[in-house]
Amino acid sequence: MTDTTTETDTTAQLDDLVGGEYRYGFVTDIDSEIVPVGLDESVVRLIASKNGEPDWLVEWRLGALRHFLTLEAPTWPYLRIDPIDYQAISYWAAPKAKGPAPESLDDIDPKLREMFDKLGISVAEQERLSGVAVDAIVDSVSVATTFRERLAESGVIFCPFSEAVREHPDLVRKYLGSVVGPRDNFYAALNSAVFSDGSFCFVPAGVRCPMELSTYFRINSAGTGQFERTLIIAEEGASVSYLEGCSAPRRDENQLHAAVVELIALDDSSIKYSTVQNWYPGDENGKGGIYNFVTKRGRAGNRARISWTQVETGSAITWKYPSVILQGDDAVGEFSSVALTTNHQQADTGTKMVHIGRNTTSSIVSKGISAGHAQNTYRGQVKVMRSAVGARNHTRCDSLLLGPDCGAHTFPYIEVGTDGAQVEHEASTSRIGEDQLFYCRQRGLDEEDATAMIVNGFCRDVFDDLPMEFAVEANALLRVSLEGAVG
Amino acid sequence: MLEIRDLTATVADDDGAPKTVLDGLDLTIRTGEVHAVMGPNGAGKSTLASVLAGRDGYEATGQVTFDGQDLLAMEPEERAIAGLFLAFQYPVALPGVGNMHFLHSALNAQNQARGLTEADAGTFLREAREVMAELDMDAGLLGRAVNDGFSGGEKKRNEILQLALLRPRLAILDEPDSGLDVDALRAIARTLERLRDGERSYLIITHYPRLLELVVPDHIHVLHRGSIVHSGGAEVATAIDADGYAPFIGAEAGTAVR
Amino acid sequence: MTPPATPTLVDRGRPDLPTNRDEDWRYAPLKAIVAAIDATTGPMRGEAHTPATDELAALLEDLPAGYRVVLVDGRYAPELSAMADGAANGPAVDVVDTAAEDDPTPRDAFELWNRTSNRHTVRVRVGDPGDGDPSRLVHLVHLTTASDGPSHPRVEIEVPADRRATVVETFRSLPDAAFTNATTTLHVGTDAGIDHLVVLQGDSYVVRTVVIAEDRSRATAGAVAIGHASGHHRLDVELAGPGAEVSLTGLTVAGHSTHHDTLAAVDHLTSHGTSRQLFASIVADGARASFTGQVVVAHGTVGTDADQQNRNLLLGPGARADTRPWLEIHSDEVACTHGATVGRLDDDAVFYLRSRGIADRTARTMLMRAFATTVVDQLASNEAIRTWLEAAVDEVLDEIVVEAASTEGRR
Repeated sequence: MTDTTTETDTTAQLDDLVGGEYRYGFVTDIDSEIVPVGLDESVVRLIASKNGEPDWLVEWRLGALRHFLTLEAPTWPYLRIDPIDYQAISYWAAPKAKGPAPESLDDIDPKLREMFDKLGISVAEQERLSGVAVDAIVDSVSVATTFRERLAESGVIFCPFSEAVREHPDLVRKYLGSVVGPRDNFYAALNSAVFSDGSFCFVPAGVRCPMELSTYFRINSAGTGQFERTLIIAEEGASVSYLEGCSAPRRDENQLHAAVVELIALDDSSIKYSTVQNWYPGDENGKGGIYNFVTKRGRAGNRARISWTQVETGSAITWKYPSVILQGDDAVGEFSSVALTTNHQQADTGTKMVHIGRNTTSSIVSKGISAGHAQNTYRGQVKVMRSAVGARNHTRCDSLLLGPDCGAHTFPYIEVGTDGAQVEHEASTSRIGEDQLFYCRQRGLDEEDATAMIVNGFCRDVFDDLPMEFAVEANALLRVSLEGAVG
Repeated sequence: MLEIRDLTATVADDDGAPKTVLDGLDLTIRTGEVHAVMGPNGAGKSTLASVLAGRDGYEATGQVTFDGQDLLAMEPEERAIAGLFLAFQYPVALPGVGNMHFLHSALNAQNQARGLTEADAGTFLREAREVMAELDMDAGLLGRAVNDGFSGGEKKRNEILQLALLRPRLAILDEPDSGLDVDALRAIARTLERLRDGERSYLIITHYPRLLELVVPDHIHVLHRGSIVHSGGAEVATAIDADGYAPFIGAEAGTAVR
Repeated sequence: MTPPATPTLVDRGRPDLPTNRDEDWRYAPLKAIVAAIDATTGPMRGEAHTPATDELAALLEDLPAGYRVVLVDGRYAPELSAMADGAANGPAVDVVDTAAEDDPTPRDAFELWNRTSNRHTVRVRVGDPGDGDPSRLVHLVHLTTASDGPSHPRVEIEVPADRRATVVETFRSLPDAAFTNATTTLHVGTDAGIDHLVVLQGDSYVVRTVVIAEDRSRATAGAVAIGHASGHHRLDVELAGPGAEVSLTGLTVAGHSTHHDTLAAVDHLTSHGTSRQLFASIVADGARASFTGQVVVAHGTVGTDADQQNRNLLLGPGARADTRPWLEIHSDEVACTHGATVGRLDDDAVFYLRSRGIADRTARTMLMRAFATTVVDQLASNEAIRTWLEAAVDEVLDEIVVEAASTEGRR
């Protein structure tokens, strides 16, 4: 039984991971080129020139910058954020390239290779065992891209965003900003001005991408934010599954991560975007940690499907609402999420499903777990336009509180403008039942093991939605993050 | 194996005042013995089970020694590792937690604490299936979440399945027969008898004599108002079935089993 | 939210009111409300106005039997009230100058305006055997007649410890009346009980009902919004003492292009509190109903049991419902659930009735009534109230059906 195998492997992995310390908390000593702090037109132009960008893109960035400078950070989220001085951040850093661009893994900086190994996501191993193409982003510039040839055979383009701008400018120009415009919100405007790199994926019509695509992130240098821009396009009848997993080193000052991800799913296509997020969450006193302010949105055409699946355990502060615009008829949007906050983490996250076409469907499953002094908020919007006759939505939000000093909040917005729709929303908030804990303990499991098992059961529906290897990682991540959170 | 001396347990009532539920209870269970405890509702039978298993909410005083260890000083999982098992009267559901995974984890936790090797998944699965067949349990229940959506009979069988796989030294069964039909009762009894190997003891809490006809106890005790008022052999069950508890409750002094 | 420090009168003579950008007012029909306010002429402080006696008498017909306390444009009108019950007089009514007692932090500009426009609060004590028969219904009727400015009624209802009472508060108005901005506060004493029902049948409104429930008290707070004008009703319930039980029920029937907005805030400040909410709406084509629920469970409390349900029935392609059942929870010893549905009449149910020979329109009306009846049953604490409510709700439902039929006819 798959169930058994997965979970027994997990048990073995757990022994490995038990330790309590943030496992990925280390810094790599690599030559880095960092731009001085500050945000103005010259910085934007510098970033653009580093990437060798064409004029239209520079202008696009500058337009975003000008708009950004007129805005104020939003205050409506249920978050307490120390004010960020956007002029005190350096907006770009890259490891210095040694010689020409690498053609294989052997060519990359050995220190970088060492870093990949420490992360336990050795690219070479990935390459050998699972055939997953990896695009590893280190400090805003991609240094390793593999499997180009195999993907190219199917016509799939998977490369760093900066490369896509050079090699496939028409595609980028056509779709960039079409789902998240540069004026969409404060952080999207910032990102549009200063994004350095990210992933670009294009799957041509009728093609099922032959492997799962994944990207690993690191933030390395002090004072640099991370502003990725990702664009994924699935043409008519195409399909792709994309995995995003992150980690970051220990730092004292907060680091800002304001990414933008745009998904375009044309008619009859499907895009599955899975995230396991493990950014440094700050220490047990709430000091340090990543600020993760992300705008993720997809647009689905006729009979297209977009699925967002995420397991979030990191970041000091999270603000993200992966959304789907169900523009076409019979479009399907899915959101499935586990968000765990402990110590002093804060999360205000959720989704937006906007029903525009006819007979569209959306399904939302959100599992929030809160411990310590953390605040975990679900904020979701289901909007059914008058045109969306036959729309169907089902939402299930469950929150689990582990301890008397944390908070779990559910803030749905349901707005329906037609009688030809059916919308159902259910939510519950509770803690782990005493009876359940006692039952497990009577069978020999200590309180921590029992809690981890019950919490895992609580998250089952979402974990089942993750691609296989991510499910294993998610289980382990949850377990490690829960340590010390109980009692 | 189990020696209970002067066990008293109180529970806080609605106003916070302590209410005595067990009152100077004495009981000795030797290795390999099967004891039954019967008594009217409110006698304290389930409290006895809960206190022995270490459930929160009770203030317990007295001496309880399990294989020479001070039981009342141990955490619930420590008691389990020491070899104590409770088959719950109302088994709780654990949504999303696979039955198989739960059992395997529990067994491994106990083995690990005892310095034994982990149970091999394949062997464990085989054994589980065998016991399920013996209990007339649908094999599909292994893949379901623990007790989630199980019928009453399935839950009770699941308790016995766990007993069989975890191999405790002392199994306390809190009304294992309530809500069971004749066939289910026979299946459970069959397994309990098979596991009655002279090294394992049972403490069966029940209202009904039927199970005790199939798993014949060595001693039967009548519990009333928190203490044992009569002890005897299998004939006690027959007497209760015929005349109820009244004859026993009148006689406060009984033959305590030493 | 920060209200204006002093009531600054802008050129139209009213304070700065909330906008739809204020979270609590996101779905409120502020445009219609402000239009109703601005349409009036003359000074903005609710000048007394004397309508004809028969006009007012007409508004007082058909009310269920009980003690009657009548307020006209916020002023207690003993001549229209009916306080005697045989030999004994009914509930104690006092009109008190409460300006000095006012809490310095009003919740919003409407409340501030209410206080600054009206220094006097009508205080009613109910349930005390010394004040008539405590089992008799106390009916507070708000009549708005003023067309030259808003009316700002202020009411306080007190249920002393260990007492029980049933109070209905009905809002009605003359055809030209402008706008009602009312606040009613209910103090439910230790171990006391109240069944309170607000019925909104009048002009444009912002009504706030505050319930403060002390230890072990029982309060049911009902709200029926069936008027021909848009408005916002806010129910603020505080479980101020441990062991309190509150049950909120609301029915909105939005026809005639109206927009009724309800906000139900329940604050579990103490332990072992129970709250149950059921809010339902029936929305005609071109109308709108919105609901915001705010359940807050305070840190350090235990044993909270809270449930909130919101059901919305949309009757046409242009009907609109918004719902936000919110939970803000700071304690882990809770059981909190909520649910919301938005949809139309079940096609299978309609078909079933039609297959038994019932015409489509009749079938739909039957199902609409059934939906409303389940809520009315929960709202009405006695037979007289039920009969009266059912008739009032039926009347609005009939109007919706007729309007829908004529629209269809024109298509």
